[in-house]
Amino acid sequence: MALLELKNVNKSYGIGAEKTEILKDINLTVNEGEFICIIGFSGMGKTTLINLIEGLIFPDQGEVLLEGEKVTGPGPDRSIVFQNYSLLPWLNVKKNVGMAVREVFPKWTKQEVDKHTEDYVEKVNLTPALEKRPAELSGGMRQRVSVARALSLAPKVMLLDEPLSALDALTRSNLQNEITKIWEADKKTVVMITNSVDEGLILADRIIPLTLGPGATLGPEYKVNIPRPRDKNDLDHNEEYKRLRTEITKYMIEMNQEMKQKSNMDKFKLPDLKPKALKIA
Amino acid sequence: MKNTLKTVGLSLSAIIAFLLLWTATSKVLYTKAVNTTIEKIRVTQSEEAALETKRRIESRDPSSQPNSLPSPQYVWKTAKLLVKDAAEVIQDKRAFRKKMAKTNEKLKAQGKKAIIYTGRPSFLDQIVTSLENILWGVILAMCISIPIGILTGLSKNFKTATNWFVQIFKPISPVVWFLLVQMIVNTIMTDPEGNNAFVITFISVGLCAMWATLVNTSVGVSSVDENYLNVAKVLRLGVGKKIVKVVLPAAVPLIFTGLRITVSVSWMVLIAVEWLSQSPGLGGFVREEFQNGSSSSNAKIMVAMFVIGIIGFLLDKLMASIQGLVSFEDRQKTTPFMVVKNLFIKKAA
Repeated sequence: MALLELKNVNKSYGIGAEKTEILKDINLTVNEGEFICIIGFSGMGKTTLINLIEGLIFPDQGEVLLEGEKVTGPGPDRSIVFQNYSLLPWLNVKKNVGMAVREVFPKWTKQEVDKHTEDYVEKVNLTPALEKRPAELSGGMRQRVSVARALSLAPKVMLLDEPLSALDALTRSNLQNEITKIWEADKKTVVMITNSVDEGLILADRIIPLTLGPGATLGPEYKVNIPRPRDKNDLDHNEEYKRLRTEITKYMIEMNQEMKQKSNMDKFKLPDLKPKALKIA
Repeated sequence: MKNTLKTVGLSLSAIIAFLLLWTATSKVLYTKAVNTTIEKIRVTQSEEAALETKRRIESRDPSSQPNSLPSPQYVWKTAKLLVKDAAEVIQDKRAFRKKMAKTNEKLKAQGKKAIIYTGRPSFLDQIVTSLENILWGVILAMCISIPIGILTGLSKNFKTATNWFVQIFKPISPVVWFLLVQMIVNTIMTDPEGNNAFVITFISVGLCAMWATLVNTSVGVSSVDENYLNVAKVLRLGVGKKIVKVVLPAAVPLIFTGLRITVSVSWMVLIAVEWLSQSPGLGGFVREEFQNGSSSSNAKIMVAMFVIGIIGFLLDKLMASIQGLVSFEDRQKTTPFMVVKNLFIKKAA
């Protein structure tokens, strides 16, 4: 059975003439243990999609189902990693993760909570920074804390909302490797939003493009049949990788051009007028 | 290093310029006061009396000097006198305590009240009293404004209900607060032995200074970062837990910004309120010297002025350091040691 299902989900913002359709007819089925990448351009409703799954907002039509049950609000069974880390700046790393663990496992003793917390911070290689506050960490380190926090909640689905977009290229590729390693150890179900085709190809089982809005919907899916573990350096010579990369990139570019043409047609042609010379009487 | 030298140099030259201007002004005013005094006597009494007054003023007899702006030198001398006087009073107290130790023990054994020192307070005692007054004033301000600020920040309805109240009472002058508090306190506290002046002073100061904290707390609580609230939502925190674990910590920096303003305002209004409420303290000291009206009184008032300014500056620096400690935006955490170090560097500059 599908772990997560989105059925004919529609979402728009505003009312009346101001109404903008963001997402239209979104259908998605995610099986247990799958790593899905949703790929798309900025401002096309990727974050809206994640927020719908998380239950921070609700669809106008259609429904979001987790294990066959309708999502009625946010919860730790769908732990989320935000693009901007969302760590509490007054708590150090240990407390940021520990606070979440204590809320989700209220029956645990302090020792159990601490052990669990430290294990997950270890998983993202941040044990030396346990006592540091977010302001003392780099962007990549902060995002790792955020990943550790999301993982430690033992979620059914992990939602990653462009977790690596704010990072520099080197840190980004390091973190991609770390996420792959963690995922291969845990085989968690993951839905990740990204704007990078390469990132999707390294991490995902399936890549699904989000078409251009308004009224964006999911495009044709691409199965990534590249054997794991995937090493970024070897991938450059992998035929399947090259093929998929070209194909997806081509799809995205064509979509973009189509969109541009469409919007060009909508444009008004300005009349070629010249201002009259002003005469001073 | 070069920068520090520059800062010190510039500050020093500004201070010297200020002192020179002050000296010149006081000299001009002194001459004018002398002339006015002599002229007045010449008109109302006789030529001889006027000459006699002139002779006495020129003889530097302190009791016959006219009252005007004292010179920096005179103020400095007075400051030293006040320090010496404070030392004497301390010694006096110590001697008194020694002398009365046995008697007081006996009285205690008999279940009677011990005899306490009732001599005049020194300038130092006045400072301590003022600091006590402001401490209680600020504590009262915190006790009222932080809870109300949290409520207004959390509940739009509560905010709408109380907004008119805040807007109207915020700009009221300390003098009016003092009168209001006095009406109420004097009706309630009728015990002639009771310390009404102290109660009136700290309540007026607290009511006058609490608004900055109230408004800041309210803004801090109502404008918590959406991301932090999302964390609370994902963890399904209850309302109480959300407030304690997310909203309040996020508002702490703004609350302390408010408290810093509250402390400065408290110190500023404290002197006026002490003056009005006949309470001991620096305000009381200034009032007494003002009513005394001798030429040394003016110098004492000037000394008090500088002491008030310096203490106000130190209080603000103290609050700024506390503010730095609770702020989580800073990359480096400020340690108390650094706070003390910074304080001295800034004082030297």
